[in-house]
Amino acid sequence: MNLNKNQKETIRGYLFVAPVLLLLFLFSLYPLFKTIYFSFFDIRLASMNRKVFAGWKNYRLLFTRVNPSFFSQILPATVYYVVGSVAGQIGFGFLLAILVQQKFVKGREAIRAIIILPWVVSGIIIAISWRFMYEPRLGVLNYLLASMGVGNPPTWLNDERLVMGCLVVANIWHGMAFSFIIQTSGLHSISDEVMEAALVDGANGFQRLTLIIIPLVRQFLVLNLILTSMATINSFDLIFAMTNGGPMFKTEVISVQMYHRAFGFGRLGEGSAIATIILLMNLILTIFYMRMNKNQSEGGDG
Amino acid sequence: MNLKKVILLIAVAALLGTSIFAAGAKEDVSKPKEVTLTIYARAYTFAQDAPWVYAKAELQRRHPDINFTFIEEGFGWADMRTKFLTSAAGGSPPDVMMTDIIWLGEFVDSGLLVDVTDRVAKWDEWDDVVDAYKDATYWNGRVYGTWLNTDVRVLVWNKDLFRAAGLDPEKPPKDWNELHRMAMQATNAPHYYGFGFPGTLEDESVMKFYANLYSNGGQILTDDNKKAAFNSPEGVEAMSALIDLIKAGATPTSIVSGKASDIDNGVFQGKFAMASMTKAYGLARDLIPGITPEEYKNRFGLAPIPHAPGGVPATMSGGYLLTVPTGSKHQDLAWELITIAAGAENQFKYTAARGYVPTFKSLMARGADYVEVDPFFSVILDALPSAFFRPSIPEWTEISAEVQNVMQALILGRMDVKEALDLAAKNVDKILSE
Repeated sequence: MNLNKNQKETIRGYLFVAPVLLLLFLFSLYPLFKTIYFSFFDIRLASMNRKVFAGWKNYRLLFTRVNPSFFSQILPATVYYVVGSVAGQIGFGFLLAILVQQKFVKGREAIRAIIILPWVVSGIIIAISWRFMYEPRLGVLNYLLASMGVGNPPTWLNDERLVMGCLVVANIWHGMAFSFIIQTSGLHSISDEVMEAALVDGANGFQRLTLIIIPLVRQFLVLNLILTSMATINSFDLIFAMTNGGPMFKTEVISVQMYHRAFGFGRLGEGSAIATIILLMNLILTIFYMRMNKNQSEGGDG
Repeated sequence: MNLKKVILLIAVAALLGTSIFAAGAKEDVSKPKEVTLTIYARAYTFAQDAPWVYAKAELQRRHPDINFTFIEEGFGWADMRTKFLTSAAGGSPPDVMMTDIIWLGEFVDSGLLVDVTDRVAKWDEWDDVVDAYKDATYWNGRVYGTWLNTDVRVLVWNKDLFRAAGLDPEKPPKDWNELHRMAMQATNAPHYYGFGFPGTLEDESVMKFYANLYSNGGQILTDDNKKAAFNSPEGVEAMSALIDLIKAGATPTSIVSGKASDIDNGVFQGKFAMASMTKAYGLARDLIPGITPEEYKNRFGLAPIPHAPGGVPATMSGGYLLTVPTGSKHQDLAWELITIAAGAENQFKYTAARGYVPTFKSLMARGADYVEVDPFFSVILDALPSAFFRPSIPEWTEISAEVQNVMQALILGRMDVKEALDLAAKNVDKILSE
């Protein structure tokens, strides 16, 4: 077969990316399609070879189950956890990145290393540490409160009104470092000349932050938003180890519900349906953020 | 290359190949066969000599021609079931599985366990197994494993906390009314509480309710296992007996996230004056290193679980079978390991060390030997006739979860007992009707 130079180049290009495409197919696309396929079957973990076509039944069960209810328990818990964690992680990460960037800060590298530490620790270890912090009788928090004279300190993870807030705080502490790294990169991308020019023009700190820094690091913020949102929606280990979805399903976020249905009760079909819903949630969020970023970029250009 | 050379080359290659094969074959004869056996069991079973250390050594002694490698994976209760199901689904189950008796129906119905009916018939210790326990190893008329141990829940109390409360340390409560009164008296919140029971989402949490339920004349499911029966008037009273302790302040609401191990340990650590539990002596020895039977007897007490006023003594029993998963590549060796691990000699060492109950007639007759190790063993043995089992039907995990869910709501005071049990019963009926 006679191929011209361009065709040979194209084939060579495909050959170079073929191993990556193969890996992508094996470890991402195949499991993804298999999960969607399973979501339409009544299939048990204990007997995967005996599957019965169930149509939309697994999806219907997710949305119609009473205890926990998707709309009054799972979805609000998920939204609370994701919004709280993402806002906190990005907000504090960004704030810390700006603070550490200041010229008067000495030992910046050491401070950065310390800030990044929680991120490299396993989620389970973080969960155990925070469980101990929140422990009503022996925990650090209640010890501090008692030493300040608080007579009836909260029971934290056992209190249905406080438990989700406790998880969000732990997750912010765990994930803030990731935002810090991204936002530090963003701040590094701003040239000193721009900031100096703003100073010469008499811009105060707030104006420099809102009119120069945030618009210039917007791409980093959006990337941070996408990655953190997806990681939080999918996150499981921290909640599983701290509360296992309780008490009374107050922390039963969708990923924990997926685990309980698929592995706790062995209903793989239902678990797959929930996984498919999580995938859709991730997709919707990603499209939303990317559109938001695109619109703002186009607006900025004009 | 000419034909002669080709033939010569082939002949040399064939000669070499044959020599290598022969050498390999010769080496096979002299070299022991390599066999890897994987064991999934509760983590604590690997922390002592019986059952596994002895069993592995004995299996190796019996098969000098085999070089065994044992992979031991230890788990918590719920993780063990999940790990087994996922490994079976992935086509790589262990060779030996420690199966909670309540999982038997689910595992067998899913084709995950080897039928060992013919094997037990050839096992010389099988006839020694107590008939009631032997019966429990059957599913659809076939045997799927043998007992490592059984257990019963008994009331354990901390005598120091009883003394501090002005209670007689040698007189435990006999019925719910006495329990309530004494738990109130023994409470010194927030330092320690009169009675503890777990509230987290695990089967052990609802065992306390089931014991009360049977004591009060109720039952978990109907006789045909087709409908929930725990929401009967007897069930409401049984659950109320526990929830009233919370309302009275004798049990803290923080137990809602307390695992059974937290609560049980709490009695030995002075956080709770009383709790019902199994393997009490094993826990005491884990938590108080070097505790002697005499010290144990002076500091703690064991008695039957307080019964319903006018009711019957009742306790819940459970335990583990050792089973061979269908995907095991070494089913005969796995079964041989099981018969050593769960044989009478090894079972004595294991059950005596942890405060569990044996399942062999010959061991039941050795009460004096057990009392030498565990001074309260007679209390455990005496509780056996009043022991009830949970139904080991395939739907059990989901059924139990429904009761656990409403129990959390009750602990936090979010529901009325009747309303909560009716809700759970409605969900259980739905599960059973599917």
